[in-house]
Amino acid sequence: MSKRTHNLNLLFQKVVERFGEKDALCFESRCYTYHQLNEDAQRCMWGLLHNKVYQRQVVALPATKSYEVYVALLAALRLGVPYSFYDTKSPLDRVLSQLEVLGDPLVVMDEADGSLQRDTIQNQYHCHELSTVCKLDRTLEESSSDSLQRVGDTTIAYIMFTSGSTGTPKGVSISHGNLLYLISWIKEKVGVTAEDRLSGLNKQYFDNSVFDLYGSLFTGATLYPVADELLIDSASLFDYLEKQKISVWFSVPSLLVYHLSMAAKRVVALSSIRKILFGGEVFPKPSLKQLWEGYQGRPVELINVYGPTECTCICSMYPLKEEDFAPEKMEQIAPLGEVSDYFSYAVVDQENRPVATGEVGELTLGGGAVGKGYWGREDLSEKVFVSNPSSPYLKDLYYKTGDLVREQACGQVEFISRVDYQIKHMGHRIELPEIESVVLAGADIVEACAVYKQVGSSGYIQLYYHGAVEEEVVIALLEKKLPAYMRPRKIDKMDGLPKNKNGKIDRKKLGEL
Amino acid sequence: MMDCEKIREIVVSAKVLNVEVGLQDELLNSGIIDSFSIMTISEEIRQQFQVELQFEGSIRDVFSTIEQLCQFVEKNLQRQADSEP
Repeated sequence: MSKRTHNLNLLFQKVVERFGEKDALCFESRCYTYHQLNEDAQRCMWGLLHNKVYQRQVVALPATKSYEVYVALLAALRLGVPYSFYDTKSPLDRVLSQLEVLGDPLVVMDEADGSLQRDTIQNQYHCHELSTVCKLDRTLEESSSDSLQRVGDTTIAYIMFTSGSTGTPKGVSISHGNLLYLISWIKEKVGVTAEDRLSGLNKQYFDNSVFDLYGSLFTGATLYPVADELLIDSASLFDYLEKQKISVWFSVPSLLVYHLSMAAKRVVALSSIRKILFGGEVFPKPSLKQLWEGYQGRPVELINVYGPTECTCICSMYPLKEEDFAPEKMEQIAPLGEVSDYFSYAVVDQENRPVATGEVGELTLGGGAVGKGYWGREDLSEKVFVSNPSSPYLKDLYYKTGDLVREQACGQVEFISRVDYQIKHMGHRIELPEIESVVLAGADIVEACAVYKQVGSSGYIQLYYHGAVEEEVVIALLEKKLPAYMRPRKIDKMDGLPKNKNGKIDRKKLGEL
Repeated sequence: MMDCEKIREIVVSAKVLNVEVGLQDELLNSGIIDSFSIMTISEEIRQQFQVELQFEGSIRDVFSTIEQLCQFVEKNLQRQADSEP
């Protein structure tokens, strides 16, 4: 592990000093150097300060991939004020529930994005337009400088929302120090250098985008944020990535599976690519093999990465090998790989006791990249951020991932299943009970159960319910409350849900219907 | 001219939004379908029509309306028929 800087801002300054004239961010029409980005972030910092950001505790940013958003993000980091992205295309109720978790945020709105019901947010929160929030009369800078707060490694950098089983999304708090570990790992283990060009494919409210952002702007590499509209069109997307000479790809497997099914030849024809990373869900082996064979004979690494949002995006990696595609291994999913050396970890049983090597247990992660808990929800944090399983007297925190794994003698970890009803769908982490909570709370429904059904290389969520309301009412409710990726694709009304011998809803049986 | 009703049924079973869908209604731009729907619809069409779909141009255009999708499937069926010995 290299010598660490104690906050992200000091690291960024070093990057600017070394790579100032290099492009930091490139959009379709324009690139910005590190010097430019640094100056604009500094100006924006004073702008946020002038807008009394410290009184708000958090800056809520629109998840739009514009230059101004990246500038505002860097400015928030400088001030030691956490930022959090909200999806402007999510249902308003969803956005409001996230803002509520954040407390009293300063909400930055993108006037170019008219998809959100702005008035409702403006009536409830302190809002600023993206184009004006960073503007400031420069004479105010001097008078404001005394009020800058110290930024340390425990200062929260961002709050990332994930699905919550109680019906309210959880805000995972990640600190400057957590991210410094991740950045070191990206440089040392993945091998990202200042010469690399990273694809900014992931949406900013999604955990994988952490790799894109911190793996580029804090290493001297160049980030190419890809507009959401481009993601669906294989020809346009791959033409763009080829033209920009992208060398590092990171996405959920679903995106690669999608493009492989639509235009496989283009996917395997990126001439500058040297690393393809994927994570967030299982990569179906046949599609993975297609990708592997497409790049065979070229120096391109395919890397399966794994990590919970609560542990700063990534905690393990596994570079695929020829032997992983042997006929006898085609039924096996890619291993999670070795846990990074900046984590300590244990595979534990239900009583939190470490299990023997080779036995299945829950992966529990400790170390410098374990996040700081759920924003404003100590009750939830206490359930999964626990004391060291090896010695409860030690005060270091471990995160219980909920992932059942098996550790082989060589240190490789393989995923077995979940301990709960969390699923990964199109790379999104979804707590199925959250879907149930939404319908149970919002309609005349007695029982509800959401199950995930696998079909070929993908799957879908199916909701079963028992109640007086018709399916149309349930569908309308789900559209109002949940983002598209969380909504069940099929809904069945039943005269009572099947029960197991303990009298609980028989999820297994419903999953097999 | 092929009957688009079968295509419409496939789109309806894979749509995201709970709205009626006509042959000329916007699919992608209106959010009626998403990328997951596109994969599902493509797979269904491949299976039901026994056709290899070649997406050389804009996927956004192909999935803009049911009518456009219908024409695309028809073109692929024709190409497949032409190439058979």
